[in-house]
Amino acid sequence: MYLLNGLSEVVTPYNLLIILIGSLLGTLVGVLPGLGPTSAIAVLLPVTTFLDPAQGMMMMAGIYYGAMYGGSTTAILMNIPGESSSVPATLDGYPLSQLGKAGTALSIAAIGSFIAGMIGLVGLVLFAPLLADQALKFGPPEYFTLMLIALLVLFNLTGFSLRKSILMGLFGFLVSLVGIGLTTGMPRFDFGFSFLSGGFEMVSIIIGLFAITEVLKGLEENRAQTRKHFKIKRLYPSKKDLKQSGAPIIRGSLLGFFLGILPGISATITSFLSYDLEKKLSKQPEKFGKGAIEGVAGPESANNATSSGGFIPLLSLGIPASPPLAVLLAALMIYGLTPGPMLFEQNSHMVWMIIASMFIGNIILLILNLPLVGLWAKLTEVPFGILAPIILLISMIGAYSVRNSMFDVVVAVLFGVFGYFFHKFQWPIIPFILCIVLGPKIESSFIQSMEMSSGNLLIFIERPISLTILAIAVVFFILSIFLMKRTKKRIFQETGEEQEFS
Amino acid sequence: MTFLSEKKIGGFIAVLLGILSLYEASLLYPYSRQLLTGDHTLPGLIGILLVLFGISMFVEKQKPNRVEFPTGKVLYTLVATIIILFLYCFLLTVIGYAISTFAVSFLLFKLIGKKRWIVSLIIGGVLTATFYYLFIVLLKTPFPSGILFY
Repeated sequence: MYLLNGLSEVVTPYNLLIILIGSLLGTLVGVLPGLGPTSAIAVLLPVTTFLDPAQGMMMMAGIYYGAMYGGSTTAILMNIPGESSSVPATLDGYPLSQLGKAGTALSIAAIGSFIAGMIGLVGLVLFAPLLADQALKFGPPEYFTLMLIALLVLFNLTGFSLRKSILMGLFGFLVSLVGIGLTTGMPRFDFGFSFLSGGFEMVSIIIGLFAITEVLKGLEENRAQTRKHFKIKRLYPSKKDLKQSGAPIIRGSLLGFFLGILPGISATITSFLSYDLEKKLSKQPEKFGKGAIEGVAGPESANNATSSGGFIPLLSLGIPASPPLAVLLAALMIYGLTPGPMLFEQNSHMVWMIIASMFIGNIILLILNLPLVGLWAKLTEVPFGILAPIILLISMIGAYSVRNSMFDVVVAVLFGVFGYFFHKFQWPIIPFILCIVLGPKIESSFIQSMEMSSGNLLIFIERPISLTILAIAVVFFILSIFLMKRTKKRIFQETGEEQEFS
Repeated sequence: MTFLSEKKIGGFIAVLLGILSLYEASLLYPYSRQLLTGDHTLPGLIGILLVLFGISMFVEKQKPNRVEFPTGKVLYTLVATIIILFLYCFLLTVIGYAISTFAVSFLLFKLIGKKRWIVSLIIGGVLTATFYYLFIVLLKTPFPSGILFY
């Protein structure tokens, strides 16, 4: 009922245009080598601020979905996985391109992503309000426990040393503390400089760490030369391809969605699990790695279903499961919305409009992406030498326009340089980003909990819900350690290098 | 160029930041009523954790981690790009949006894109005009006007 109301409000020419622009922008940025969903959302966030909150979020959701769709294009055509979750798509997608079946692989990836996205959205409609309803029983101690545990599990999942992840999380937390204090209103860590009393703008840090760093990495890898991709001869898949892909798409979608709801199970883990599952179930496992269409259908569906599943903890609990969702959380806060159980109570109208827009965005993406696959493929030929200056300039101007502050631009450049060094020395940036975004919420729930208990730290284990969260967290933590080690090993097997998970 | 003890440097920086955080917590403590319910609480806790984890990272047995840094032309492009970006921050406040953005985009296209002068000038001009329309006309972002016109 709520969803139908939302749909009726979304279906206006202006709203449809906004979703269309968002989806196209997202796909465009996702297709361009060197920009992933996180940097796409961060760079384009300032551009959406002239819209009202509901329309701004519709556009951001479109950008997110579009970027997820677009990411597989470079993986299949050029053997360049934009992020670790696209690695499985290269394993059979690129051999399919070499066999002259690039169009088939791209269209199966698009169809799989569409079905997975829809399954994920149905799950979101069913589960998010239920979870939000339960979360209304949560007080500050439960929130503090939940956020802390979610962070710990996510830290473990970066694919790098846990100690480095914790230190990076602490650095992020420290940065989030700069600015006006919660209880006294006194400036903290300002050292007498007025520009520090307003704190750091998280969007400029994200722009620096993702967009500017990505360009610096590209300069080092000397991406200036245009990379050639395979030509697309036949676009639509044959009946045989569709038949072979049907079951893997459904399996990948369900696996990706149900595992994706759990904290700490990232799209990288589910896409690798789906790839290995398909290989195990296949009657011809020897075809995998040489151009098996099931090897594209399953992981791409799992990847997208996990991304959709991540909206459940984001909207109902205010907890982002991945960096792009952390940026979306920041976007929601910039628009004056507080994700969490109260979002469904206080802004129900807007939330359902956003969810309804995602359904429409998915349909638009399928309709547009299949016939436009050739055009998107052409865009992968845009030389890095043209792309890099554009990314840098839009990053700089975008960072300025959030608060009209030159300090934010300097911060974006500084963090761009830091991000380059973090990448070189394999210090994970995901814990840093998550702690910057969640830092203020963690601090307020901790202080409130302490005020409730007159400073008694045992409050976190004395309350039944908080204790249950802790017990469940232990199970997830053990599970996540096992899955992380497995996925890390698989990435190393397939790419020969260690990568940060996304 | 190789670098061998990145963890030691990371651990050392963590300890320094931890001490800074503890110092800030000590300055804020007098404004609070209780030990665990003030603006000093989290800076204090984060400070302690940073010092502890920093020390443990510092004393951890180091495995050789050879990191290759770029050299020659690539290093030049990388450093020059960063300098241009910082220069842009300065120029934007001094000479305003139009000239600084045009100059910086021209430099970036010349440096990274390795385009000819005339091509870099044209693309730089188009980009400056496009962003002007998007951010200043459409989004009404008030850029510093500087000593010259917009």
